[in-house]
Amino acid sequence: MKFNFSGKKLTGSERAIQRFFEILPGATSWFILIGMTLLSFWNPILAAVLIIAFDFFWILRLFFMTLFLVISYFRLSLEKETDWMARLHGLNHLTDALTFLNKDFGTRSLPQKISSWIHRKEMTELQRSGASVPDFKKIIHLVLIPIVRETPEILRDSISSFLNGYFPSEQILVVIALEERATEDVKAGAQQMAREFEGKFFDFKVILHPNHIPGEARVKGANVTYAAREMTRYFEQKEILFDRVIVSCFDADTVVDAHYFGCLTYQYMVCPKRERASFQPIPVYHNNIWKVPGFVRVLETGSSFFQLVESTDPEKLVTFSSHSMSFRALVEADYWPVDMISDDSAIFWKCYIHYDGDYRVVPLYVTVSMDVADAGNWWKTIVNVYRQKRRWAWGVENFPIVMRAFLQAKKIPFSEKMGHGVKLFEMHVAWATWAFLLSVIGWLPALFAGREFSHSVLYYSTPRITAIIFGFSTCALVVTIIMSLWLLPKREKRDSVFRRLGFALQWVFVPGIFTFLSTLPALEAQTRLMLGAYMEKWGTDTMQRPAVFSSPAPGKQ
Amino acid sequence: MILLRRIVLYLFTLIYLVFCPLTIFYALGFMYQPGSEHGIVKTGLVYVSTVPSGATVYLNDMRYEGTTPSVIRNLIPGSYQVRVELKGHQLWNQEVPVEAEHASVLEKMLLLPESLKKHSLGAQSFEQMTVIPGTPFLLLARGKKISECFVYDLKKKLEYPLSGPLFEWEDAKVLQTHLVSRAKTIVVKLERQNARRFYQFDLSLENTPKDLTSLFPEEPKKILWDPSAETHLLVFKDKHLNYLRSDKKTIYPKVAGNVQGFGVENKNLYLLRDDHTFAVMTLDGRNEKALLKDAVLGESLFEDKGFYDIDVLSPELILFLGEKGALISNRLPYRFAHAEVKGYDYAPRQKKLLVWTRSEIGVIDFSKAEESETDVFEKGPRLIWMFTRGKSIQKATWIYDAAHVIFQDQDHLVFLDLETFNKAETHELLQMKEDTAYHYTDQTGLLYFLDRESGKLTAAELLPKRELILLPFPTRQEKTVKRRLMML
Repeated sequence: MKFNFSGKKLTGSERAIQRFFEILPGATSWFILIGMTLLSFWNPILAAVLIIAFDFFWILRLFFMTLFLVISYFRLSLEKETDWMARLHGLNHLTDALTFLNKDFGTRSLPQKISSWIHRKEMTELQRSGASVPDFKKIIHLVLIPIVRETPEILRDSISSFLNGYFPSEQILVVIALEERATEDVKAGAQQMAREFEGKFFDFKVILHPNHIPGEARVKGANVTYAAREMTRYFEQKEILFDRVIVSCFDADTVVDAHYFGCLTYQYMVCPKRERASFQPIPVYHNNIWKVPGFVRVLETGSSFFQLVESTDPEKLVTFSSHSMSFRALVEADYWPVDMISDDSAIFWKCYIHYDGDYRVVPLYVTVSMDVADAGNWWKTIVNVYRQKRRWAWGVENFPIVMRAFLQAKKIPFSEKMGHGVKLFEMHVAWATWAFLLSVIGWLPALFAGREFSHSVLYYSTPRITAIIFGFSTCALVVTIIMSLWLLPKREKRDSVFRRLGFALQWVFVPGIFTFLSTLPALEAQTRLMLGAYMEKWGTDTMQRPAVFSSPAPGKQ
Repeated sequence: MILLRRIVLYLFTLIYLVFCPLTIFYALGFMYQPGSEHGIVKTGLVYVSTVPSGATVYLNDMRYEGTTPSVIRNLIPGSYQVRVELKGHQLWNQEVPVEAEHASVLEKMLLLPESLKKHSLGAQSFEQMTVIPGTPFLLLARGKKISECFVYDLKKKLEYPLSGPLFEWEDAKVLQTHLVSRAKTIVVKLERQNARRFYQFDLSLENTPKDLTSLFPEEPKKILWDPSAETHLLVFKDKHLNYLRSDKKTIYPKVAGNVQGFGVENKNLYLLRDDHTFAVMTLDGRNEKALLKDAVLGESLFEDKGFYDIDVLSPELILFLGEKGALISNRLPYRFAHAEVKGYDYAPRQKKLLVWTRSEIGVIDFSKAEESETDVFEKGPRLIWMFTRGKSIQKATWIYDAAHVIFQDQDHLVFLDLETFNKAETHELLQMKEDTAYHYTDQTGLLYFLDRESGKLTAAELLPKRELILLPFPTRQEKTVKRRLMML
């Protein structure tokens, strides 16, 4: 479907529909928060009943997410030692590989058996589909790294991780997408990287994105789109088929797992419609995780957990942060949006709409590690984390555009549109309201209880039921704490038992941390969208690496 | 994975759709009972919270697990015999009704000790004790002379003479003491060798009192002042008011005339005139503003010719207590008692007024108005008589956050238990020295009185200190506003 994936420069009914859907999430969130507060005054009995219903829903949802968090983590740990390069070789010799797998099955450990079982299932399906399998040696990985303020110190670790992986670096093409408005130091740094890594990759390019291109905002999407267009010409000149190219868009601080490209290539090759798919790894924030305050660690681990859970629902998975996709799909869908902040999730929706729903995200059970937003002291770090979360929550800007597209998309089944629309809407509203409902508003009926309510059975039952529900949530919290300790990288020095206990106990502060550093920024983002106060993109500091992205003004021509 | 996710999702959805309504019904008090109509009954519960806590609760002679505070749920509607026992305390035993979907709440049950723990606060014996309401001061007198009068500071736990040794009239006899609620000064009329003088004493420290005699050219009928401006006095005599400045030793004569009643609050003078008008003005009689413009209403309310004490309990509540005991308010139904009311005690946080006559004790709850399904006329709160068997009630006080009452009947101090679904019950606490007063404050939970035998100032713990209610919001110093004692 031809659809202009932009919320800017709309007129008439399109503009009205856009504004309606821009207002809807924020209005719903505020309606819930204010409505429940007022209801606690006016009809505390009804408010208490709704709170019980909500708490019950929440605890089931929590158990659901915890269950799939465990499953997902289990899957991630299964694939830690997978030899993806061997699998890649096997894909080009399917029958032999399958025979070998069957013979070798009995000698493996249980995790290896499960991993092999999954692998065998994928290969069998690939064989049955009859789809042609490209030669992995001809696959090229185009890695785009947009920068505006990043220094060589930040870039070096990231680019080195491409070299240090198992996948041949000769098949990796690195492009630094550099903003013209970057300082001379940054530009010099990019050139320095080009010189340092010359000859180590398929190619290494620095592409300068000019300022003031009409229709572009000062967003990352504009930068990487410009670089991708340049690379389109590059591939055409070199007669490299787009089907052979997998593009990955990484942040400047992204350090990929050694298995990343191997895993990605494998998943690309076994994917039945590989040019209709994006590939989403699990983002973790381990680069400097031990150097940041505990509450930041809890928050960022929570973000990784969320992605782990999301990866178990490939039907509704959406790209986030660093991700990869078919270069052909990128070109056909007309690249990333050039006037949106949340280009990472927007590209998925763009492709989904372009291909009339025939597009999906394949989860990669491999990690990419990034920096935590740290600014050197607690207060600045809190501010930076708040801004980062608000930028993530600004992904709600996709909702009105997606809904507008769905209204026009006749070929996408209604059930799918409904499913995606409801999930997108519910996810953002839940993000902006649940923590407040659980930690504050849920207690208001008891606090403001007049005589009528305070002499009802419900008044005495509600705290008991709530306490039981929250007691159950402790089980989920314990699981989360254990998972967080497993997921975190090993510290360089061994910690005492007390210190490790301290790391675990930081999770007890989850309600407060999430309320102020997750829910509140989400509510602000939705409110801004509701009021038409479109957001600029904020840079976030890192402790050892001082600069990240610029703050583009939206809608700047 | 997709299939697993779907299965788990449907399973959880089913769990939610089944168990969430069941949980809500349970929370509302519904219970499954085979044999009943539809198999479901609506239950009620009993909530018992005692001071001290940790008491054992019996319901129809069956012991309930755990100790107070207790919530006893899933009770079929009906009447239950509730017995509460705590070692060292008197038994509490009453019938409690339980209604469907309702909680029968006994949240401020005070378990009285079997014997009150008393301790003396000094070595001296006294004949008289006067309470200055709203202050931590007690006036104690060993005899009739001013030198035999002492002050006891409850906060500092100090006893000291009212007048210092340098007071020239220390051997004078006390004829009259004028005091005002919340004020830390008193005005005393003294007599020595047929000469009479008026002095203002500051209770907070031993110092030389101020001689106000020159400010009283005639014998006042009543003296009043604002606790926040203790050097500004109003003197009532012959239906007019004089305004005095004790700091400047000046009199402003007849600032108001035709006075039928007056009161002072927040540096304002509230004046009831004999033409049944009611107004507010500054203490010196200026800037008058009418508060009651309906002359007909005024006439019907203040039909008695006698004097009215006016007490501004809050911006919304003003009380008028007539000489003959009529109790009138600015709130509907205006006239709460026609005669015989001797005093009252107001609990501002709970908006409850405790009223007593010689033989009765009643309560007006201003926080709720009477409503009738059939009557369209607004009624306002009612004075409900809780106790009617008194012999000579001198004083009554709210205790435990206005949940119960103690009162002095002759020289007996009695506890009136209002936390009940039946008639209020009385329990005698102790006997005090005859013709003396008592003092109680929720802040300490202590009862202060003169011991019957020794005459010593004694304190008895009525409310365990650790069990005192921690109020959710910061509150003002004193929770009850007592009626000013007119004169001794």
